[in-house]
Amino acid sequence: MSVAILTPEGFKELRVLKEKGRRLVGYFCVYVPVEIIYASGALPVRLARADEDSARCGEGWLRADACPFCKASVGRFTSDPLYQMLDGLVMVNTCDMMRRLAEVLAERIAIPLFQLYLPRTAEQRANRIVEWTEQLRCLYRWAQGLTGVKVDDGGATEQLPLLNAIADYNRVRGLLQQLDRLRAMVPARLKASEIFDLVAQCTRYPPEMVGAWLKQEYARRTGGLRSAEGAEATAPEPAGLVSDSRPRLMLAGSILVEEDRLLLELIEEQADVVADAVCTGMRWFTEMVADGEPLTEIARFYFNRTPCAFRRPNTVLYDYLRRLIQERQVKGVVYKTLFYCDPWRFEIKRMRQELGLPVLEIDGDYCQENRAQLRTRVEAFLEMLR
Amino acid sequence: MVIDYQDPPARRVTFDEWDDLFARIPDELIEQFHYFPPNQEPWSKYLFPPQTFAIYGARHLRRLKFDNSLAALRLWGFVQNEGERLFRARQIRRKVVAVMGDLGPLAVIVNSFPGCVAFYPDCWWWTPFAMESKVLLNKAEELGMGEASCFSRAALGAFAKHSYFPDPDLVIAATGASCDDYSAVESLVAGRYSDVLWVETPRRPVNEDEADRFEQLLVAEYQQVLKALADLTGTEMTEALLSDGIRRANRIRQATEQLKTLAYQDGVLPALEMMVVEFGCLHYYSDLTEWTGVVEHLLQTAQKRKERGERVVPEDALRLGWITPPADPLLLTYVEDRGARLVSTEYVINQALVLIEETLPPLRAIARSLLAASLIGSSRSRLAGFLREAVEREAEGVVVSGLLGGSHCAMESRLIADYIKSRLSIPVLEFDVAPPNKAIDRQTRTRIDAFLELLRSRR
Ligand code: SF4
Ligand code: SF4
Repeated sequence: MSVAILTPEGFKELRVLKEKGRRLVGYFCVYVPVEIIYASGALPVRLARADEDSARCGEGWLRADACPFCKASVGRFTSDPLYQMLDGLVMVNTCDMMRRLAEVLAERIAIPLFQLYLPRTAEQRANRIVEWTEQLRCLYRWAQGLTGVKVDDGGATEQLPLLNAIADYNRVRGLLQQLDRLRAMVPARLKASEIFDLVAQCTRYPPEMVGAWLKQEYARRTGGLRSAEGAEATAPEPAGLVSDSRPRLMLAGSILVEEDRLLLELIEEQADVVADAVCTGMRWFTEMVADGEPLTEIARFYFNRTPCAFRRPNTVLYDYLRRLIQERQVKGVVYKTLFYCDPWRFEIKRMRQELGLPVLEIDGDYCQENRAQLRTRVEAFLEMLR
Repeated sequence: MVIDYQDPPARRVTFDEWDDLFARIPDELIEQFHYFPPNQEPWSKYLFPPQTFAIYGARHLRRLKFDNSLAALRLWGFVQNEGERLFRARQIRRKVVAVMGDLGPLAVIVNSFPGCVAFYPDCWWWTPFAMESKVLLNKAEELGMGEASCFSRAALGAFAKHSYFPDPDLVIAATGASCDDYSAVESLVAGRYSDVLWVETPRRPVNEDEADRFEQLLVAEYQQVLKALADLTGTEMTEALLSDGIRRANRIRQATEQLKTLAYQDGVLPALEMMVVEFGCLHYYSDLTEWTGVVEHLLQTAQKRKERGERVVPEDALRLGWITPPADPLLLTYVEDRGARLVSTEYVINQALVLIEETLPPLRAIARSLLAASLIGSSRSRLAGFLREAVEREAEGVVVSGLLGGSHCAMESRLIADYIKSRLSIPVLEFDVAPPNKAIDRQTRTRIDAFLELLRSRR
C-alpha cells in the first residue's frame, strides 16, 4: 500500500488507466458526488494537493488574501502532471472562494468544467432537495457527454451504473469505517495519518482497486484471518475501559491536504488523533448512500452528509463533534484552519465554547518556515493535557 | 407635502457651512418631516442640525462634504436617525424584523406586512466609519471574527451590544451563493443571539431551465418567510398586499434610477449622497414610506438643478467608474475634491434597482429580481451594467476598491480589473480600503493622486 502522497508508481497507475481510455475527472470538494462521475464511466480524482510553491504560483491570478488551498489549486494546473492529465473538472459552490475558483479556472484552463449548485442551507426542505437532485441529473448528463457513455432511457438501464457505483463506493466507505474503528480503540491501533492516507487513495483510484487494498490492510491490522467485510463481529469496539497515557485528540477544521501529513505526524509522536471532522478524513466515509431510487438517494446523501462548516445552520456539525468527543473519549481538539478560510476560522470561538475542551488553534497556509514553532505549540498543548 | 424653500445655488459644502445652512431653514418646515408617516408625533421628527449627529457619535461627518440642498439635509437626518427609529418602532408595537444578507427582495416582502419594519443589520457596517470607532469591530473580534474578515462583521458586534437596534422579533438570514464573511456573521448570530429563519440564495442561473427552477426554489423559500411573518403578525398575506409592496418598492427603484442618471450623467448630485441613496434601495433605512419621500425630494431637487443648468461637480472633472465594496465616504469626498466625478458605479447592490415585474405572480417576480443580483453571479455578469454606463458616459478610469479578507474581493478583484482593462482599455486603480480612520492613509492618497494625474495626462 503506497502512502497518500502521490508516488511516481501511483501516478503511473492513473496514467495507465487514462491510456486505456478512462476519462479522469478532477474534483476538490467532498460534496461532489463521485458515484455519478464513476457511473458515467469516468474516474473521479480528488484534487487535494497543495504546497507553498503552488500557492505562490496561484497568486499570479488571485489576491494574497484568497484561501491558500484555492491559490494552490490554481497554481497546480500549471505545474502538477496530475492536474494536467484531467479530462474534466467538477466543482461545487460550497464556500464563496470555491464558487469563484470555478470562474477563475474557467478563464485559465481548457478542460470542460461543470459547476454544481448545492444549497448552502441545510434544513431538509423539499424545494432544496428537488433542485439538488436536478443538479445531479445535469451532472450525470454532462459526465456522460464527456465519456460518450450515454444511457438516458430514464429507466433500469440508466439506473444500473448508478446502483453499481453506489454499491462500490459504499463498500469502500464501509471498509474505511471498520478500519477507523481501530483508531477509536483505547489504545488506538491505527493512526490518523494512516486513515488520511487511505482516504486519499480511495478518492483517487477506482473503488474496485482500493477495495482490495483496504481488505488487506484490515487483515494485516487485525491478525489477518478474516476479510474486512466478514470481520464486523470481531472488530474491536472502542470501549473505554482500558486507559492509555497518550492524549486522545480530535482534529477539526479546513481541508487537510496530502502535504499536511507532517502536522499529523508531529502530533502523533506523542498523542493519538482518534477522531476528526475533516473532509479529507472521516467526513468522507462516515455515512452511506441508502437503498432506493439511485439519483434520489445520492442527492439525499450529499445533501445531508455530516456538514462542512459552511452550511447553514451548522448545528449538525456541532452535534457530530460532541458525539465523537463522547464516543471516542477525546480530551482535546486540534483546530487547523487555513488563512482566509472563513467558514471554519470564524467558528473558532463558538467551537471553544460549545465543545468545552481545550482547543489548539493552528491557522496557517502551506508555508514551511514555522515548523519549529508549530512543534513547540503542539508540545505545549499536549503537555497541558497530560 | 408642500415644501416651500429655495435652495442656495448647488455646491458641496463643508460640515460647518452645512450647519450654517440649517440655521436658515424655517422652523415650520423642520416640523414637517416625521418618520413613520402619517404619524406626526413630536418624537418622530428627524431634521436636526448636523452638529447633533456628530455630537451623538457620527464624528466622521465633520470630515466630509455635503450637498447643500434641503433634500440632502433631509436625507442625512433620516439616515442618521435609523437606530432611534427602530427602538421607536418597538415602542409603538411594530414588529422589527432583521433581514440579513438578502440583497433586496426580503425587505419588499416584510414591508408588505402591515405593522412590520424590516431593517438590515448588514448596513451597520458603516457605523465604525461614521463613528470613527472600532468598538463594533473589536466586539466582533471577541466573538471570533477578527481582522481577516470584512467590515460587515460590525453587524455581529451590533447584535452583541444590544444598543444599536432592538433585539429583533424575527431574524431572517439569506445565505447561499453569497459572501462567506457575512454568512459567518449570520452563523454566529444564529449560534448566540437569535433563532434564525434561513433562506436559500441560489447562484445566478446558467441557463433558462435553471432560471425557471431557481425561481421555483425561491418561491418556496419565500413562502416559508410569509408563513413566519404571518405567525409573527397574525396577518395572512394576500396577493394584493404583496403586489402593493412591489409597487412601492418599484417606485423607489425607479426614482433611484432616475437620480443615478441625473447625478452620474449631469453631475447635479455628489457621489457621497448618491451612495447613500443607492444603498437605501436595499432596505429603505427601515421606513419605506418616508424614504420614498426623501428620495423623491432629492429627485425634484436634481431635476430643478438640471433645468437651471446647475451642477455640484464641474463638467470637465475626470470621469471615474467605481466598483466596490467598499467606498469609504471619505474617499468619495476626496476624489471629488481632487477634480474627479463618478459616472458609473457597481456597489454590489445594483439588483435592488431592477424593477420587479408587476405582471407576474408577486413571489415569482420577487424571486426573479433576486436572480439578477450581482453578488451571486460571475464577475463578468456583475460588470455588464457597469460597463454599459461607463462606455456611454466615457469613463476615463475605474477604481476597484476592495477590502482585505472580503471573500469575494480576494477572488474577483483581479478578474474584474483584467476584464475592464481588456474591454475598455482605460486605466484601473485597485486598492484596499483601510479600516475606519480619521483620515485616508497616506499610501492610498498617493495612489489616488497618481492615478488622477495619469488620467489627466491622457486627455
Ligand atoms: S473544507 Fe468544506 S468546502 Fe472546503 S473542500 Fe472541504 S468540504 Fe469542501
Ligand atoms: S463586502 Fe463582500 S465580503 Fe463583505 S459583506 Fe459585502 S459582500 Fe460580503
